[in-house]
Amino acid sequence: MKTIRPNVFETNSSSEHTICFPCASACENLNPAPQTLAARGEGEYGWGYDVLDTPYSLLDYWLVAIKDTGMDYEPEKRQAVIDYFATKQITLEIPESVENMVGYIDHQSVDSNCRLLAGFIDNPEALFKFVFCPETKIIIDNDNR
Amino acid sequence: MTFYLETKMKQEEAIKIFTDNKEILGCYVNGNHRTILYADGTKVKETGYYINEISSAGKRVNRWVDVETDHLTYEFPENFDIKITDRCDGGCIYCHENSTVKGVNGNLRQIEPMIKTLQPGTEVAIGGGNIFEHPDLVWFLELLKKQGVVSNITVNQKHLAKNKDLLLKLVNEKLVNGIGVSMTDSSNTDDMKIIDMLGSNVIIHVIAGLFNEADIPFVCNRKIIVLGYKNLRRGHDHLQKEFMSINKNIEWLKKSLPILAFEFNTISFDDLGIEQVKPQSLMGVNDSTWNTLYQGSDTKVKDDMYNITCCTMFIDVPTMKVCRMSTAPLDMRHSFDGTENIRDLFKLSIKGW
Repeated sequence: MKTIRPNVFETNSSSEHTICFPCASACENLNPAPQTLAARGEGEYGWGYDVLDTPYSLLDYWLVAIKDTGMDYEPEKRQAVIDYFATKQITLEIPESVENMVGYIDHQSVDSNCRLLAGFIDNPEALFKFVFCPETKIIIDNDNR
Repeated sequence: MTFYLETKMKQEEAIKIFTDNKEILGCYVNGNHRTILYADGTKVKETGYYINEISSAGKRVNRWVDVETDHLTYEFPENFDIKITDRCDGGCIYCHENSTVKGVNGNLRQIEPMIKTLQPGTEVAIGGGNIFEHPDLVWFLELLKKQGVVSNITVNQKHLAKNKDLLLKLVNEKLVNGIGVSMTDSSNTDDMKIIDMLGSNVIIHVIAGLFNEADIPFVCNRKIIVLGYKNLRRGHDHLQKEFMSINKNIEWLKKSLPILAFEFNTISFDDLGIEQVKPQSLMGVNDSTWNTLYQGSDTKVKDDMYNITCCTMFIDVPTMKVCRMSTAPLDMRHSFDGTENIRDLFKLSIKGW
């Protein structure tokens, strides 16, 4: 039997770090091959069933989330995202404005999670992890299945 | 439409990723396993034993032999939480320790004999109250370092700025390793700068029910631990008044966790946090990954053979009591005088559980 507590010391003054998920630490080791990743925010994310698990599909979903939540997509923020990905050898091609995005997310799914996801525009590192972590995925499903 | 994320990791790959080329702070055998602690806090535990044999070069060497078991056993705590003072001017309305400006400091000199029985490489989490109120804090940290013990501290964010220089000194002199910062004001950007100065071993402590969306900029791209809300002392009074908002924030955290996980470097939970947030299913963690990451329960204390199966304990120096954890009932706290061996105190801490 082996266990691991990754990257944290025991600092809890009342109990221990009973479990620690290495959200980004594992992703520090993410080294996707240099590539151009282009998405236009054109996906139609309705009732599903659908599984989003490729960098393209996750990036496209994020763009549509920005559009459908009305999140600020300012040129400076967009450029900061492009610049961050460039440091990882990824050339990002994304629309210059939300007007160019034609996709949609089913309105019932435009919720707080969708806003949090869209908020990655302010945290390019989180977006990079979201897009490139190989073992994360979005499953679009509905109650009728 | 439902939104899921899956998290899974292969055990051997994960251990390799987190341990390759890292400095080892401590390595020791405890019960049926050995523990290896690395300089960034990574801790690996593996069941087995050492055999002493003659190598091909003709020298006697110790070789580790893996043994497959389904649980870990302990002869002494691999870490313990130690409250050194009840004094604090923070006045947090949810403080479950009831710390006040009139709180007393524990007599750290009295427990020196016990400290000298600690296994080098074990960890202590030093908290209060406000630990900076204790006049013997530095002396105590030096004593622990001399013993080979890895000291970590918890600091309330309210005390960061005032004690910045001392904190930096403690870090530079390696008197402390991990620093937990209890978040109280996520709008304070000056404190964010201080936290950045303290290095990569800082972890932000947030409380389920108090942590909310407005706090995200403070914690993003940092390590955090989600502590369960303690319905105890002032925490109990606050819960009575703010039940709705505390419940709402816990529900928000549950719903948001799959996305929030990308915002952090690591996210940890204590036992109570697991109970209140239930992160396994929310983060889509499969059983194999969970079992690799799970460090054990505070309250499942013995196996069928009466071996101890928990790895931590709580020591309250102001009252000279030991117990399972800081939320333990008063009748399950046991007196000690500071001359005992840590192994005996460990056994005492499970009494009644």
